[in-house]
Amino acid sequence: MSRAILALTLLAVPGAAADLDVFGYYEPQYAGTWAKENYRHLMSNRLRVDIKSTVVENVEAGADFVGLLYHGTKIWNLLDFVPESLASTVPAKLRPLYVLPFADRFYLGDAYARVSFQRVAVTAGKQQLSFGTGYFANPTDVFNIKDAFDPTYEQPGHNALRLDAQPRSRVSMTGLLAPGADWKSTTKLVRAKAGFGRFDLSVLGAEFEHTATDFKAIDTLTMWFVRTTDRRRVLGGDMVGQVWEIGLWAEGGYFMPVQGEEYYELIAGIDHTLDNGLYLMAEYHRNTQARADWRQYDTNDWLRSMFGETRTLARDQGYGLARYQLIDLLGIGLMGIASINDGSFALVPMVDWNLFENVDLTLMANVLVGDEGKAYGSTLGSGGFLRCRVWF
Amino acid sequence: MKRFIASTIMMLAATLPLAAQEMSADQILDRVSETVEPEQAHGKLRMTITTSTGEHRTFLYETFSKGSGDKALIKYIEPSRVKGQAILMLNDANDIWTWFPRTKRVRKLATHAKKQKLEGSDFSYEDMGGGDEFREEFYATRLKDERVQGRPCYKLELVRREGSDASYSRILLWVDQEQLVPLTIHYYHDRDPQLWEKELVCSDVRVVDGIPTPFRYSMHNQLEGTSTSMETVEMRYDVDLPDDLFTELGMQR
Repeated sequence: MSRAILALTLLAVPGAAADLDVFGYYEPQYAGTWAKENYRHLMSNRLRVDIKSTVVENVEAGADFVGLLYHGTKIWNLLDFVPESLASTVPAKLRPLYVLPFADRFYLGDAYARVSFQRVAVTAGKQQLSFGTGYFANPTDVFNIKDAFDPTYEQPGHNALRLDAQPRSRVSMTGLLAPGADWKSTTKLVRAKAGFGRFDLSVLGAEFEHTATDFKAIDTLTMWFVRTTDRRRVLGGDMVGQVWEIGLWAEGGYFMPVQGEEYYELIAGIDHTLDNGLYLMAEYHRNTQARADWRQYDTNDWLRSMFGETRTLARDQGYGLARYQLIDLLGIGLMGIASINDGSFALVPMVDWNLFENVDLTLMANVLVGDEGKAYGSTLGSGGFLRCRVWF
Repeated sequence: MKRFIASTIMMLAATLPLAAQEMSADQILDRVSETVEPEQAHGKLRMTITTSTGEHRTFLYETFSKGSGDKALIKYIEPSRVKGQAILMLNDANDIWTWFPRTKRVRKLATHAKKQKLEGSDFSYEDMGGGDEFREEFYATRLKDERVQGRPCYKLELVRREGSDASYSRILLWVDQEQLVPLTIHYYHDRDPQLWEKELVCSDVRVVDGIPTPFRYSMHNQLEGTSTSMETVEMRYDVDLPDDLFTELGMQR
């Protein structure tokens, strides 16, 4: 770790490298949640230092180093966020396995080189990958699963070799390989995108490996939960455009596991900005991998959803967002996240304030309204966070 | 409308002094229109927002335009929180894409987003985008000449045509008679032609590559009490910008 900091420091010395840019942010955050009559809080201090350099014309190298320190309640028991009816069935000797420690972390978030020509670019290394037009979720993004409560937060980098080509102004193609242990387990993805009038349309095909944890079975070798990996193929696409002054988008994928049942995911949304500046948006998300009857949610469903192994707990979700710039540098918003299947929902009021130049404050609360056992019921607990981001 | 502000900011220009003092409003508008749209432009501008409470926020960005404003690209250089973000506008800003370098995500915005403020400034996306619909969007009438900034100016009144989707119902502008540069523009509210909404003042006109170019702009929002000033740091018109700059890949370079 100290070597990484030393390297960054040396690189930042004027003259040490040509055209080197060093920037990033420091982000302290306080998060708290009230669940099962207990209040837990977690403070984090996150530092991200980016370096970027144009080595020679058309060749760019970039990396970011992230340090993450936790304070407060650093040990969380996941069973505290699972309905009591399920948690109580877990044998006492297995309960320690459900403990999730928040350990300090230092890592390279991204580290890549990018060679770009007029209409072609190749990026190799650990890099941000994001696909799809959905706001709260992206079914065609086989690399990331967004947190619907904080959907715009940056995602981890992924090791990949990516080729982008743009033969015409509004026509682009992407080919991507994300190496696995062998060719079979390597993620392969192709995507083609074209603009037609006021719409952008894309089609995507991918083969990827998916890992699922069975939170009810113990692997005696690792003494942790059994993890299984399967290969899946997905055919999908997305679109974004507008009709009159209503923004429209949709994104979907049909997933074909080599073993197991096929399923599909679809998200569709609309948005509009009123004359007074109020921004309104709504999305519908269907995930047939998830259960439609909330009474059938089991421990695996809950924990896989928490760990980001599945995109949703409920099959049908509705999202809403309203945003308004209250005064010059202060915006307010309200998100609504609902499970259509069980009628539970979460209200997420938020405030964004550009406190000073390069200093942003975000306050977000989540109030869950629903009976225990439902997707957005009291099980998960209500809470929120206060996040400050200081850019440099 | 959008063409007008964008053109004013990016590339206000004039060619020949007006010989005919009795030109009609449409003729003046044509002359201004002919000159405010250089085929290509590349510049660097500093935008300072002054809030209603007197706070300041400053942005430095690079602009590229081609096809007389048909294609425009804005890339933020400062401050750190927006560094690297880019906005691509094609088809006279009817198609807008934004690029967020930290998440490597491109997002296409619908037309309604054009009304939104650009980084909280008094300029909207629409204001900043190019366009060539000025004559199509408004009826022009010439009013009595007046002096602005000590210079004789043509005064024109533009009234939005029926069915137009321009954001302002009426515009008053004062055009320098010698350089054909608009020196002051008053914008009236979308729904109330008598409600004065914004004022743009252009000053410090210098000749760049043969084209008179204001180096200072000040937009004041009469209704919100906020203002945004812009300073041209660099501007060039004799450039050859490649078409591939105005693509999603170009945004990311």
